[in-house]
Amino acid sequence: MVGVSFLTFSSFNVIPGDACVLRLGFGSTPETLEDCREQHGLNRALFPISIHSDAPWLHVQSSQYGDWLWDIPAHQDLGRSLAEGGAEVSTELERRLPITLELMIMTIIFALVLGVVPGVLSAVRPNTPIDWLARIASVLWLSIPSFYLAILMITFGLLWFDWTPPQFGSGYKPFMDDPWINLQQFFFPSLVLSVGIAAVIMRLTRSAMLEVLRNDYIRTAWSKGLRERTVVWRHALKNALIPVITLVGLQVGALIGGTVIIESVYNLNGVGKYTLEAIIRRDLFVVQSLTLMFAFVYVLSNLMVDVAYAFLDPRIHYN
Amino acid sequence: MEGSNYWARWNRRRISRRALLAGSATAALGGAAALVVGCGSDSNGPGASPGASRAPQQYGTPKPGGTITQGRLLNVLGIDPHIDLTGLDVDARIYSYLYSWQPFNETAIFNNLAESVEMPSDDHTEFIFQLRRGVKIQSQEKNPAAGEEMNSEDCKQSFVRRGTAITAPDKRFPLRISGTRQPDPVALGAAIQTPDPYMFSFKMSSPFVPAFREMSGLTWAMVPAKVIEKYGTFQADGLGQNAFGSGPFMLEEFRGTERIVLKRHPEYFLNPRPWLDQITYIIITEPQSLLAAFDSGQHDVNGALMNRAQAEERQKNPNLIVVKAPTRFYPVIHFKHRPPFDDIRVREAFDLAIDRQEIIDLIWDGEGLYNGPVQWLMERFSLPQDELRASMPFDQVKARQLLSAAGYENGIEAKMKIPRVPGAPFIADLSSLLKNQLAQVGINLLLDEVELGTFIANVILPGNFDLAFFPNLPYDEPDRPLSFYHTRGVTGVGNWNNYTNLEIDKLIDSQSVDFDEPHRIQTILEVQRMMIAEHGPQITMPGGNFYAARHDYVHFPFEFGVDIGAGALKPPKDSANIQIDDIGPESSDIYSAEEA
Repeated sequence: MVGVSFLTFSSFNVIPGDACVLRLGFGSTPETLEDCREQHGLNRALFPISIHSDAPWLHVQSSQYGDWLWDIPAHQDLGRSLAEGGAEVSTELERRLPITLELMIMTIIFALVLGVVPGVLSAVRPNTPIDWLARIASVLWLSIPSFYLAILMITFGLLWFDWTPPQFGSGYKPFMDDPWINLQQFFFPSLVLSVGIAAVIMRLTRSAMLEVLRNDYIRTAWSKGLRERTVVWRHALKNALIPVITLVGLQVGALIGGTVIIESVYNLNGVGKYTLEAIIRRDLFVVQSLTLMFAFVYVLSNLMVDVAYAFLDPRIHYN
Repeated sequence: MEGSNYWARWNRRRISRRALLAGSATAALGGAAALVVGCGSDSNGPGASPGASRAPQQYGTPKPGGTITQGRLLNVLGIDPHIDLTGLDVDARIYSYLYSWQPFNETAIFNNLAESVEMPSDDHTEFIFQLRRGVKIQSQEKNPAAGEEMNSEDCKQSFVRRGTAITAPDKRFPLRISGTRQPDPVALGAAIQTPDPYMFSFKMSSPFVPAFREMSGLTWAMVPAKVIEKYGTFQADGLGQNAFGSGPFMLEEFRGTERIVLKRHPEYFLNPRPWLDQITYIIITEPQSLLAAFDSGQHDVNGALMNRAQAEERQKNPNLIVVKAPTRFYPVIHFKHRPPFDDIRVREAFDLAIDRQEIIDLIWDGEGLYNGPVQWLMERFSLPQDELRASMPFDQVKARQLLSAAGYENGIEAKMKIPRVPGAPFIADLSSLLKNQLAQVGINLLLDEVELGTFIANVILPGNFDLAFFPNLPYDEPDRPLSFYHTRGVTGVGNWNNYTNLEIDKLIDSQSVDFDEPHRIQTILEVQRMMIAEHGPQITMPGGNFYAARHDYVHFPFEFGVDIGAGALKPPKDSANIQIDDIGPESSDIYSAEEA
């Protein structure tokens, strides 16, 4: 994660422009830029260690990256936004993270339901209308860009039902404040975000199931006279799910990327939208903190996948 | 002097507010969109666009109470009126200003904190303001000046803070007050006198015609001195996220990327104004979603920029009021003054190859007007349309001849850098159209679209371009757009184009100190003719209209814009003759006929 933050910081400083340039705009002069950078601490050295041509060769100094990194464990401080009136990043995250987490969790639930069920049905009934339908649906879901689908859904919701998501008029409502409104806020964004992932899950589930269904132990299960439901859902699916769960873990990265777009279209002020806005206005410490958080979520999700293996496959043990 | 200069009209209070309030949406949308790039004119919101060309609707007596939800396309990154430029339309409802401004008549309206002004010196360098008594500061828990009266010290500290703000690109006016070459808060403070709580004055070191206009700008908000002292420095809980003013509305909630809630200021000095109990801004940065929110009735006032087709679709709904107003964007192409564009024949060929009527037809839905260096909206200072059309012909044959004469018979290849501005797709559309038009005479453009931050930092500021396309920002005073052509540029450190023309410099300088209005206008027209004949360093293109909509129960005191279908707008010539009440235009005059 430190490596990710280092790479982010380095690349962010390579691209031209900074928050002061954007804030001061076309009328900025070298003097005002210097003033602004001084105010925001952007005139400090980039890294805590610099190399000199004469002794002492290594020089430790106050720096943008070093101070930011040190403040996280030392002061539980992720820094401040260079725009938005200097708002604390941690305060913003506290407000926005639940939105994105809820969106991601609902998306994964939708993706699993929309992917696994048709995938299993498709494998159990190959070359039937159910199989064809599921395969066509998966191709469609993969083909439609999520932002386009989101706009279509908003437009048709408006045309047919004169309805738009409630957050368009009132802003975000937490689940604990109003569960019904909250679910209305997240239902369609999650659905839109899930279809692309569901399509991949469906195809993988189908192929994994087809492979598992040909195994000897499945034949044995059939010959014992077990019901189809037991054979499919208990014996076959559990084994077929291992690659699917691996895929879900990997899809978390794509999901994070997807939230950036979907949160903007559906006006959910979560971390994804925050990221996009921060990048556009070169809000260095916000981008740094968010990247760090995304890396953490990604690592955590893959750790959870590893733990899930042990549950799905008794042969796997972690000592 | 009577009737022939700006100052003669200062004390005329019974003037039009129709035009002043006209286009508040233009200011809010166009201005805000412009300001997202971090600069822009110091435009006065309520008076930032021309007025209606139809009779104002009569609503009768305003109805107190109710709330209004207004959509908004762009994030408000901060609401510090002296620093942040993206929330100026919100600031305008929270803070008091010295006075308002009618830009197209160049008229001050003393309906705000200042009751009057005197200018005793012959060279118009000295200002003495008398402040209105009883202008109460909003009473909020964290407000250190809660319930107090605004006074001259508040104005002084506001001037010092605004005059030395780092985000202000053009500091020519405050530097004339402080008499220094660099912003100096101590010198500026010392130069402003406050002999009593209701009077403050200063004297500029040299005349400056735009000064009076500048002070009415939205960034010159009057913030209580105690508020500046407590919240004025850059801090997490500073004025970027808090607001304590004396205007018609108080800040209730600020989430600049999500929602802004303003509540009625019960002790507002123009009581019973404001009529509304609450205004809520909902920020949705995706234009289609924003429009959908309005269509479904979640917003009372639409915040999305609509094109003509979208506007006409909504005009079918009898419950909506759809109007149009001129876009205040002002598209230009910047030339870098180096080969091949230091050859006037090449620049002229470039200019001749642009079919401006096609731009009007395709980009502006058939409605638009030519722009000279001074935008057409500033009617008294801009060149007549006939003259602009005559001096900007479309002539591909001559363009090819000029290119050949300049040694480019095989054509020219050049890279034109364009910014990617969120919510402004017309930039890419217009650039593509220009590429097609210019290709027909052998000028092959390579369009290089770069992200906005990169465009500012890497293209414009260092002058790193051969050609750069950008929609100029709205200007209400001709001095600013003319200064782009000055050797010193707008910032005083040089223009981005490496362009120098001493004759043009001389005329720009002379108009900025010329208080004889007819003479100044002649100078401004003359210098524009010279600029057009130079075919650079900026080539100007036509501007069009944009469309706004709201539900019909939302009443603005006067319409902004006109019914769609009424043709291209023109600034109202008769607005100065329209009689209004004594208080003059007031941004809080918006009200709702429906309860929340």
